[in-house]
Amino acid sequence: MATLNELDGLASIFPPARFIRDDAFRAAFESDGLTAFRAKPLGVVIPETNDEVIATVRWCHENSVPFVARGSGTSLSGGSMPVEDGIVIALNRLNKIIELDADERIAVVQSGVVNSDVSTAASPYGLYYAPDPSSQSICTIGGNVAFNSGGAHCLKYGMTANHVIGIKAVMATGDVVSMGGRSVESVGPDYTGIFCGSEGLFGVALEITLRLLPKPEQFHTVLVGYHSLQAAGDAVSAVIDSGLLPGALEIMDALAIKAAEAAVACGYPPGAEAVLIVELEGTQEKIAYEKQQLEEILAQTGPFAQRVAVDEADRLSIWKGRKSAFSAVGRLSPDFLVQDGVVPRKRLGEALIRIQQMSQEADIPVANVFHAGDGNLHPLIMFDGNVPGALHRAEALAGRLLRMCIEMGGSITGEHGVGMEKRDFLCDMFDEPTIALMHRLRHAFDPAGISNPGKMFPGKEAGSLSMQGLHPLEKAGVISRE
Amino acid sequence: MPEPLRPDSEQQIQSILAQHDRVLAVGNRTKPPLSQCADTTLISLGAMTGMIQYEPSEFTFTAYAGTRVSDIESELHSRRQYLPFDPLLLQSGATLGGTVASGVAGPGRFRYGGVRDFLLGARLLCGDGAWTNVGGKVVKNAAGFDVPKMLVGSLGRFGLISEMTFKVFPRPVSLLTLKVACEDDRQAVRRIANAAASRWELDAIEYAASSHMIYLRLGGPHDVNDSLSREIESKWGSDVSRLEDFAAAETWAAINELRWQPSLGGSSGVSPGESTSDSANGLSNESGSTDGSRATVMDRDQPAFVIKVPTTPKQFLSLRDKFAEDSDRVAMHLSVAGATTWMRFHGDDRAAQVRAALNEQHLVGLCVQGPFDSPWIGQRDVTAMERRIKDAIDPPHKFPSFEPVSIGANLND
Repeated sequence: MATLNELDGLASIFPPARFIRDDAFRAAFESDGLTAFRAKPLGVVIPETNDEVIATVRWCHENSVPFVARGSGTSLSGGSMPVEDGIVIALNRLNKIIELDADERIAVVQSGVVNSDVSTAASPYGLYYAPDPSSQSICTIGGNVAFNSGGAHCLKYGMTANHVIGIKAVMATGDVVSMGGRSVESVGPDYTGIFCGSEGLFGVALEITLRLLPKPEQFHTVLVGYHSLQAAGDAVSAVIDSGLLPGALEIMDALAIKAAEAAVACGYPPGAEAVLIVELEGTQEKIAYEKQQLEEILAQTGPFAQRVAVDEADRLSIWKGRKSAFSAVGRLSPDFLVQDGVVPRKRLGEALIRIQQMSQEADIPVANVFHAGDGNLHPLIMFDGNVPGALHRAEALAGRLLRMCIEMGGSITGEHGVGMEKRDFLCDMFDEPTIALMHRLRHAFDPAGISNPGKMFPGKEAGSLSMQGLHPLEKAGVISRE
Repeated sequence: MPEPLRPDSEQQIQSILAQHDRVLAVGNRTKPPLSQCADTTLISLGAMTGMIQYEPSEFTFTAYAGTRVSDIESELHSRRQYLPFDPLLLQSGATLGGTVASGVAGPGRFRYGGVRDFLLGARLLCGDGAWTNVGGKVVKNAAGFDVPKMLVGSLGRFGLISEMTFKVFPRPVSLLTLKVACEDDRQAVRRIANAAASRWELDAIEYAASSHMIYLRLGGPHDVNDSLSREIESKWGSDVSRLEDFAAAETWAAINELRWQPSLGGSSGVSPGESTSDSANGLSNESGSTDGSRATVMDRDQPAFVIKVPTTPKQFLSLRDKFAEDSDRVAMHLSVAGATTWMRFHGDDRAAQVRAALNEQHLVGLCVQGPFDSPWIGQRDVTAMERRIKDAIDPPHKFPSFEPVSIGANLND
């Protein structure tokens, strides 16, 4: 284990103002969006150039010092939590959009660029960057790449990996490699693809080439109220089976609606046991055609209330309830855990019933918000961290939910990544030879195991567990857990 | 070359792996250069075919790697779904495994993504003889390393895939194809950029360079396609014309079968959108083409090389300039709105010229058809990272290396 003094070598790379060992400053980096885990790093470096990042990683490699690269620290799986005997490489100042080529429809960005800044820069050209994690106003592209972030529009457009076509990175060994390129097509193994979602275990992305899409000309957003969760689930199946491909299909249950109403007065249908948000997008001609089709489908699903967004402001107000739902749950409960499991879409109804049963058995309230279109559940398990044993019981329930997802043929994570939070479940999802293969791959990129250690795989580097409530940014409504 | 072995179970595959020093899985060998490996036992997966699980409501299916893509497409078609990336060489018998191993996609790649974007999971035999299950079977999954993506384009060099799970999408209810005549390549590239960034949500944008013709495909409700096509017609005036359904279908089939330029000395070539229908199959166009390309008698005596080169539109233009004096003999087709340049040429001398041109631009091509002795042409170095990854997946090196291996005449010398 390294000591504070042994970091002196980093002083040759960074001026004092950007190599921080001050106790109070380091404390600001001791957690991320998963506040249940904390660890104070030995030091924090704030590079402003790629060369500084490369020099830092090489220094860490030569001195066997673990490091964690970090963007805005919004990971909900503890993916950017520091290592106590390591350093944090804070990448926020590497925030340049290096190039935006409207003809080629690509943007080359540094890893500290904020997600929504890409779409802002592309907007004058009628283009945008599709992946939209709900923390997109603050999370960085580097973090999105590390955790293959999703969002509300994954059903149609896929996740981050589907929009990253090239990466220049420094591997944990200090080697600088380039993967992919400026074309969406490539020749040879798709190393860009495996780097996305590697949770920082391979190295640090320096420059990322993103695919941009033309902005949809029009949206058609419908909010539908149902008297039962089952009816909302059936409506999702009806929409999917019709051949429509909506941009988003989202469901919230009564508890989540209650929380959202209390937080942002979103005006969802009173008395609804569930609401469904369906969003179509495309050309005005296509929307004119598909909205009729959607109307006919929804009419047969037994809704008791329906609201169609009449303009962009109305659309955003519908989304406001959905986007704020997670932080809003903080109004109903002092603490909560959010899960991110995936089940096959056709088993959504069954999964929700089982979640309800498990909630009742454990006497722990669970609110449900989910990306229904792709079966991505987000149960919010509510508890009071001040009650002895409450966190433990909530975690036990979370574990049962994850195992249910695996048993149903789904996944333990749809978009938040395994990180620190779900690493004990990785071996429940994958068999031994597959886990062994992943370990070998990790070793190929990072033989010394110094890049973001303790994440994804069960291990010993976990930080001490302590419940700290909502993330300050979450409380402020800046970020939310989607 | 001896016939490939044909195991009919995973146990038999494991046994073959144990008994041989070096193995490589092959499908129907529609892309022969990709399986050109010396001292390698070929394993055909032709005895392990078919759909294992198809869940239309989940937008997923799982099938054996040896399954013909055409069989999969038929089944998906019956449920109004499809693989949006237009798998190549479908009519020629391409298999799912070969499609993943080669990573090649057709025109539909433009709208929703390529093979990498639709492969969700795979059952992979590693060099140590262990079967692994990488990725998942649901449309959204962020657990563990995304190994399936890395298998795309890996040419079977990492391991053997027996099963794979794909995401599918609802099939557009109708298609409409337009062709847009251009003055030259530069105008075409400008128009392609306009079309790709337009509000039209095109399914595909292709460019037949020899005839300076852009092909646009709209997918959606008939009336919507009709309305959008009128806007396109109004934008580019008399340069735009619609293809009748039959001609359109033949055009896209020709592109997907890599017959976008007349097959020199063959009998099944077609110039996209200009097919003559007087032959038995409606595709024959032996007299050459209306796209201006011509083959010399000498060319006809030599086998054709076909390569895929990932490019930007600017790189495509540079390649066109490079072979401006020889454009009849080095035919090019720009696919996926400029992201892929397909090249077809004849003879070792011309292959050497193409290789030099690719090297000059730091480009690399995938050798899809022709008497190549290597899967790649142009500048592709095996990096230390690639070697380490290869070691990790295939510790005993039971599968062929990524290093160039000479078999007979070596274009890479």
